[in-house]
Amino acid sequence: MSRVGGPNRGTPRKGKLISPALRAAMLWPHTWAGVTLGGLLMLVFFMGSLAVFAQEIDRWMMPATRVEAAGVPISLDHLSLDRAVRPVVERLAAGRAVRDWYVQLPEPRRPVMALRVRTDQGNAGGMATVDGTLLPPVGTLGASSFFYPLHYSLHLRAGFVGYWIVSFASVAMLVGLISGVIIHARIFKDFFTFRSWGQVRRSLLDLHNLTGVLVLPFHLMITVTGIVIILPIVLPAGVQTLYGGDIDRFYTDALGGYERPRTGIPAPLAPLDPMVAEARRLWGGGEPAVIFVHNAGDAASYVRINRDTGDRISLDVEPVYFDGVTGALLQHRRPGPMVATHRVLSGLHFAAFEHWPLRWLYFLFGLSGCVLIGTGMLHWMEKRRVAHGVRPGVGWRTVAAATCGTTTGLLIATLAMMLANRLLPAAVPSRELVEVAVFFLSWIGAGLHAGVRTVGNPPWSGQCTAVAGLAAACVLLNWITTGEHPVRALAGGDWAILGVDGVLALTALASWRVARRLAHRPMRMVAPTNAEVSDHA
Amino acid sequence: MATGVTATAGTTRGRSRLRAALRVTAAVFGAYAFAWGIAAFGSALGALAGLAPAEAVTAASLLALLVLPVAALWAFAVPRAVMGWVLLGGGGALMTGVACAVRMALP
Repeated sequence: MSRVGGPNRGTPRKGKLISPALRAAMLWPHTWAGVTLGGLLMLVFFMGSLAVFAQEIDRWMMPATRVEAAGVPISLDHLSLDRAVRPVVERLAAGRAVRDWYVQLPEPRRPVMALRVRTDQGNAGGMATVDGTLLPPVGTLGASSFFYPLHYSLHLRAGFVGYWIVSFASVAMLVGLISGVIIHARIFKDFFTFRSWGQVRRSLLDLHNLTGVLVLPFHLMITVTGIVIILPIVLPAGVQTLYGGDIDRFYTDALGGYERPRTGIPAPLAPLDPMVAEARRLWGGGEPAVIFVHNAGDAASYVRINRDTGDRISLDVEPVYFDGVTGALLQHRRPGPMVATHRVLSGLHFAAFEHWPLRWLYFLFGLSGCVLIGTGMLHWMEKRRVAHGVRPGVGWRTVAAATCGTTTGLLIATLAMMLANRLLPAAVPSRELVEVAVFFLSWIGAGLHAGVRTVGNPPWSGQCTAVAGLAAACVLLNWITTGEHPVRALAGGDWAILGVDGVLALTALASWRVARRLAHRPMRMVAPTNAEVSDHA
Repeated sequence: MATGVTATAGTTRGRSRLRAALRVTAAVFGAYAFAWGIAAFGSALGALAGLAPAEAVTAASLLALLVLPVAALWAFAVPRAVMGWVLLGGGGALMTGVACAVRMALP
């Protein structure tokens, strides 16, 4: 703790940007931001990395949506909203009065359309093929409705609590990145140093520095842009000043939104296809992605058409609004330069653009963030172990168990959920919630296991074996339950399934090797020396 | 870190803990107050300069986000812990106050 007072003891040299005193002062927030929030950041980075391939994981978890249409270019020339989509909406409503509905149009990564209908007696949702055949309920939240929201909101929706927690951890991540750069003034010398044959602690620090330096631009970008997306919610000072705290009014104003209340006078909906054609003309090309019909069946109904952003970085969906009864254009307003900048920054984070090499880079760099956080926590553990001797205290054991629970434990929970997805029969009531329960129960189980078994070391080897077994079982069960094995996926050009199975198989293989190596590693019993204790920075 | 703790007596330890708490709270709440002040003041200033409200809010908030982590780290680097609170918290309150005054003046 006493390092906090560091600057008093050092003698700052004039004219040097980073003085030794500043470096010493930065070590404390760097260390404790990492130790206290590392586990949460690990969850955010890991789920964010999975979210890059949310559509592909969805195809894996929702076999009914693995439609052959993948690979075939889908355009509206083949899909009529009036002929193919509106009958599906009627079927989903099942006779109840529809109030609002929207459809996410098929795209190459999701070859089915997804619909959501709000009626006066509850909501209904479903997926349908391009020709308008309603698919049976998928019975899972999948990656796009479970892993992905876990990444940004922890599924704590009430009062945006999850947003606040994740944003707080993200600022801590920024603090860690910036202080890390300051601590390592010799950063470019360290960058070319990797002593994997040396001590565990030394090579952990090297790996920490390597990922920290090499992927620093990405980590800075992804952390900043992540907060940028929800900035008006977590820093509502401007909204408070100029919009009286009304966040909805701000968003409507900034993003060119439009709304009007129901009148209660019934009126039929105008044909949608001409509206889509007009929207495409206004965009100057581009594909529609989502079509919303608000106040359906009412004289005040209006239609919103969002543009697909796959061909650009910006997340600006350029919404175009039409009168639902007359089909006349109501609004098409482009954002100003600052809001457009905000949209580009958000788009940099979302990576919704159609670019496979970049998607893989986002995935791998996101995982490198997990490596950065994990090696940082491991380094702290090893360093503290040297200070404490081989019988560490409760604090050390808590951090060690938490580190284990948020790395291998998180993998176990994720894989257990995917396994449950392949094992649970379709008839299980509230099947998607059972899957979620499996996720959290296995995570709690892995955490308890880590807590109980952490004595000299967390139970890395046992948990790695579990990860290997679960990942291998996932590949096998996908084969058994859907008949699709990697070779068939390769032959059929089903890259989503091949990709997920491939990463699962790699995970199984790597975890198995790690588990074997750890099981044969002799327990470290090195007596600490003073030089070792003070060896950092 | 733990190295210095062993050498110090009980009272110094208590005072060092207080200083650490001051720095952590200044880094968390003081820095946020400072960022809040920038976003509020910047929005008001932008609106005064004729920017569209959404533009002013977005520009000021983005700027505040860039300052936030640096302000948080500065709370650990400033020689006297209390100064961190005074400048971050006080600066944030001052800017927010000015923003409120400007908003009153705005049509």
